Amino acid sequence: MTSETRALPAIDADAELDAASRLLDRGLGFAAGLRAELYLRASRRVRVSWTGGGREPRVECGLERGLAVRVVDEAGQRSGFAAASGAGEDAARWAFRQAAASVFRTSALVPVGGGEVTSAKIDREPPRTSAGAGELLAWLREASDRVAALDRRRTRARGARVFWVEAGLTAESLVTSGGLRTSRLRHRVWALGVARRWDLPAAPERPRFLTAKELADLDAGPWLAGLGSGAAREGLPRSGPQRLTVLPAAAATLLRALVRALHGPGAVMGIPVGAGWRVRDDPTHPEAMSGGTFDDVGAPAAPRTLADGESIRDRIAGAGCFRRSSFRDPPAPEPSHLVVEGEGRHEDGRGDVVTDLRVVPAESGVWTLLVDGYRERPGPAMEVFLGARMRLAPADLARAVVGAAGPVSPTGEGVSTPTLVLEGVNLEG
Amino acid sequence: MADTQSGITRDGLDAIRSASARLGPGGPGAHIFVEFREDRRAVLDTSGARESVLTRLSGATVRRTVAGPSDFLCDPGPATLSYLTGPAVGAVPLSREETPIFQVPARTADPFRILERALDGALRERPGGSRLFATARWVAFDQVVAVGRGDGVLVTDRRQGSRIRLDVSLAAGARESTATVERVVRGGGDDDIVTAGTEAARRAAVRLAASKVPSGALATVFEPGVGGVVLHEIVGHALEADTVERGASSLARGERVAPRGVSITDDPRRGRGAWRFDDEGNAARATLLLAEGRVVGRLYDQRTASVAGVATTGHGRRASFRDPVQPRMGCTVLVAGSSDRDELIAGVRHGVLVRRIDALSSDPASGTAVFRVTDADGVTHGRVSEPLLPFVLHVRTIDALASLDAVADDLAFDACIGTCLRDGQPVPTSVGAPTFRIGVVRVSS
Repeated sequence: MTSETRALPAIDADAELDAASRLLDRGLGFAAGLRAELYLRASRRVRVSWTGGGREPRVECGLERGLAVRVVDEAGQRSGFAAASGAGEDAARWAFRQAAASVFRTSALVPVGGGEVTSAKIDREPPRTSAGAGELLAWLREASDRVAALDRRRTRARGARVFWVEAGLTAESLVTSGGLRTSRLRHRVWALGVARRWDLPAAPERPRFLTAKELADLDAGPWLAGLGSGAAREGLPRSGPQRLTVLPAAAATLLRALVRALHGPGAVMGIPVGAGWRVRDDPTHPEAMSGGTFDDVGAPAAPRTLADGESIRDRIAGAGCFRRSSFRDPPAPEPSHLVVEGEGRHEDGRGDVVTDLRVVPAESGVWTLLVDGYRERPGPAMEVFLGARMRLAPADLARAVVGAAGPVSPTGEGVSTPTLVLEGVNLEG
Repeated sequence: MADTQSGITRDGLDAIRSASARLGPGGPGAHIFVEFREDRRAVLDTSGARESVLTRLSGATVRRTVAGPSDFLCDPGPATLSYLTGPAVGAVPLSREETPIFQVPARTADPFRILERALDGALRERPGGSRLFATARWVAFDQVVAVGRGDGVLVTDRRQGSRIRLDVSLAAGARESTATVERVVRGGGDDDIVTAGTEAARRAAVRLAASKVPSGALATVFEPGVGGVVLHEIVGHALEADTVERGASSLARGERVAPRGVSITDDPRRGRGAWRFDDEGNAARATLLLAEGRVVGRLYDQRTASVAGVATTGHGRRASFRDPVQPRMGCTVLVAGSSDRDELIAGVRHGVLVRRIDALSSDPASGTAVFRVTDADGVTHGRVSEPLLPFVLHVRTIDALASLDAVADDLAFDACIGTCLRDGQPVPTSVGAPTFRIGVVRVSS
């Protein structure tokens, strides 16, 4: 493969922070009487992917910078936001003008930091050499070979594959008119794989994101181990109230949905939960792909216990919880990295096993969960159920989580969790 | 000075031409893609809370062969374009100030005036004794694109779209309900906007009496403009050429999958965000996917067309300059039939009439898709009956198409407006369909 890509400039986090400060100083004239914040983000990435059905690799690499301006009135009741590509003065002037011209009373105002917190705060991962196109291609080839070998053992092979792998470096700078000055630097690698879990015609393909801080740690093994290569036949789940064992990938989906529903800004404290619902949001967790020592408006961030196996204790709200999906999005309360505790407290291996699930919220407050999984039965073929349905309100679902089994596993989706054990839930085929 | 049609300055066009000339003849598919995009979102609710978010994105990417490497940089100017297409040495300074190549007039429309009218319409319809809360959202985009090739071809395209969405929540006594109405906003009067508000409030009032749908296999009728979402998922995605190429499509060319009278096209030149030229600079054209029930077409970009030995259909799109091109749908349309809508509904013994639907997941490989229906009515012995609480629709492509047995003549577009998200790349799309009926769909509450 010859990429013929060019040498992209390195990202200098100190230079980025200085640039942000300069742009803020020059923009403040447009924001008289307002507290102003400028967020500058520079990211450099290399992606290697397969094209179409073949093994022709394609390389994309580039550098993007963008800035966002947020202004808040002195009373802290109205705010404005605008964002633009680039890091030049034109882009900053435009963003300041637009933000200042669109200051409104919003339903959930996020404060602009500063005031008493004026010292520089730095959160930068140690420097490391980012993986280049050649290394990424080698990883992609090896992972694809393993997936293809698995697929060849199935009677209904359908092109399971790892689509792309990407390495990126991102520097974020945040400065405010109140004197706040922060900087964050992150290296990350990601990959996307798609495969059918079961060798059944009706089994859908499921994507799986893999993430790590370094290419050497990006491991498709756990994902591959979860793909069933043996014979399977489609069946039905058990009927009636039962125990379910929810594997980590499915548990991650459940966690994200339940945390949003039960621990959002308007959450009610003290609602009882099951003994296995021991959840914290931990922006400083070693496996966290996002987050850090401060949130995306510069407020100190720390682990917070959301539930302790007895009741709801905290919510994702307020200082330390604000996240930006990209430079184009205003900050909003979001979890950083959810961790479920309770390693190995519950016995494993009983009950139907859930491998994938999707949550369908409803206006009535009762969710429908669409569940794929299997039941352990004697015989040569695994009995698989696809699209089984569970209907529960979120609070009832949290009460049904009675324990956890096995080690806490990173799932690549902002969640580290063991297998979760649910009791007393009904599944319909 | 700007070429006002395209939104690119004359100097900008010259810079793009010079840069693409440096690509030389290149391989097939070599081009430079330059993009400017402005997105605006405004939200207003009945408590008076407002939000306005305005973003600008610009960048350029150079692709050297049809499946070859690409380099991209943001905030392009002449120096950036020269760097991207020049020899691979040296580095562009990060903090450069470039001569702007885009000059896009600022929008003058005040979205909050539009949103206020919509909320007024809703509030006017509030039933006595009830509590009504409504949120109105306005979303607009304006994208300027230029694609230059080494053979001297330079095309520009401008894609624009605006839409409004009303979400109404109503509480009366112990009962609560919600309703949503969406409209594509076109130039002209606000009547459409006001009626969106009144329609949403009226529908919420009707839905106070909603009951649970019976689970099972039911005949399903889709209101005009609504069912296009289903066909986008089960037909459109299965016929994107790269999906076919990797063996992940359940629809084979030449196969009869639906009754005669069922024809589906995709025409990127229609609908919101329509394009004349795709993101590889190729002219967009209407592509017949199903003709009288038989699979006849695919959607191609340049690479998949080259592999298949056919001409591209002009469906090559990227979510942004940072992303690779893929074949994507533009406006997927079920061609109008000849059935009478009332007769079509009268032919349903037990079924549902779907008014709003969201796609939850779609898997072309297994030919299955799952949808959430958020607004529907029951149909009993040919008559529309009670409103229904939200439910899930499980669609198997082969069964659904084979039982698509009636298509009315009331073609409509974008009653449910969405952004197609595929492989992490969001692209605005449109759908069009008349009222139509599918005989066998699994429904669960």
